[in-house]
Amino acid sequence: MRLTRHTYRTTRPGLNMGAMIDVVFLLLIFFMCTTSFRPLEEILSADLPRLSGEAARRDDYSPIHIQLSGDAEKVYITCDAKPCETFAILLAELRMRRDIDDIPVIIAGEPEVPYEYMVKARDKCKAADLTQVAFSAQSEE
Amino acid sequence: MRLRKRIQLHSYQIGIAPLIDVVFLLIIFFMVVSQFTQMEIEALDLPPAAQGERPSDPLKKQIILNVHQEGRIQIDGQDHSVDSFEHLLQSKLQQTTPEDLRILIRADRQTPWRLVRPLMEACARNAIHQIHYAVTEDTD
Repeated sequence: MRLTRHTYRTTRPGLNMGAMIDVVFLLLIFFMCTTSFRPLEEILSADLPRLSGEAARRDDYSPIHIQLSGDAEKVYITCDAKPCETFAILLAELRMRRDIDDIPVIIAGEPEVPYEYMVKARDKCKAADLTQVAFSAQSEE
Repeated sequence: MRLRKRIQLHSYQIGIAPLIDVVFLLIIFFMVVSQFTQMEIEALDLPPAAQGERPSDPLKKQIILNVHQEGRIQIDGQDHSVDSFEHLLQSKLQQTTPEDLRILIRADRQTPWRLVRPLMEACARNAIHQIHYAVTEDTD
């Protein structure tokens, strides 16, 4: 009689692997569901204040001046000294000027004007297809 | 003779340990990566704009300025003032030309203009004439 010893070993995990995997996947799915995604960030570009006033612009046109004044409570918009009630009116004014040519624009803002209005003015210039937009420097009027 | 039919049950043995390793690796990878992106980009309420574009040319060296509503300026996780930003800018300009350096201003939408403009003027003093502004999509 031959004693055959079955030396194979059924590998039995020391830890309960199944439960661990379940926990990991649960965590994964939990974080996937509770993640809130930020709105996508985009980029708007603009030229900078020219500290030494530019003598000659590329065109012969005098630039469009957009002035924003006021503060967080109320912001006043003027386009070439003409007051605009809303940004939509500003856009209309800019489009009118765009029909003439791609005139350079200078956006000036008072110190307390919230940043988002300056960006919005820049945004409206771009919507009106005006490409030469700069923010004004302190030395300019 | 008894024919013993043995139905060979194919037991598929998936190695469990590598699976778990992969899952943990993924979790740790995403945790670490999110930490790095956190440093440059602070949580801010950006102004909306309809004409924003997706950033192109990711190979340009860039400086991201995070400006909070109260005027706190953070670059790469560190607090800065306008002067220290200008020093940083000048040191970066010793390595690259002004055209190759992209400046991105991420300012809270309610930041007063007087807190953002000195940063732009500092850039203009150092011959950088184009700045990018981070905006969100305008849903109006």
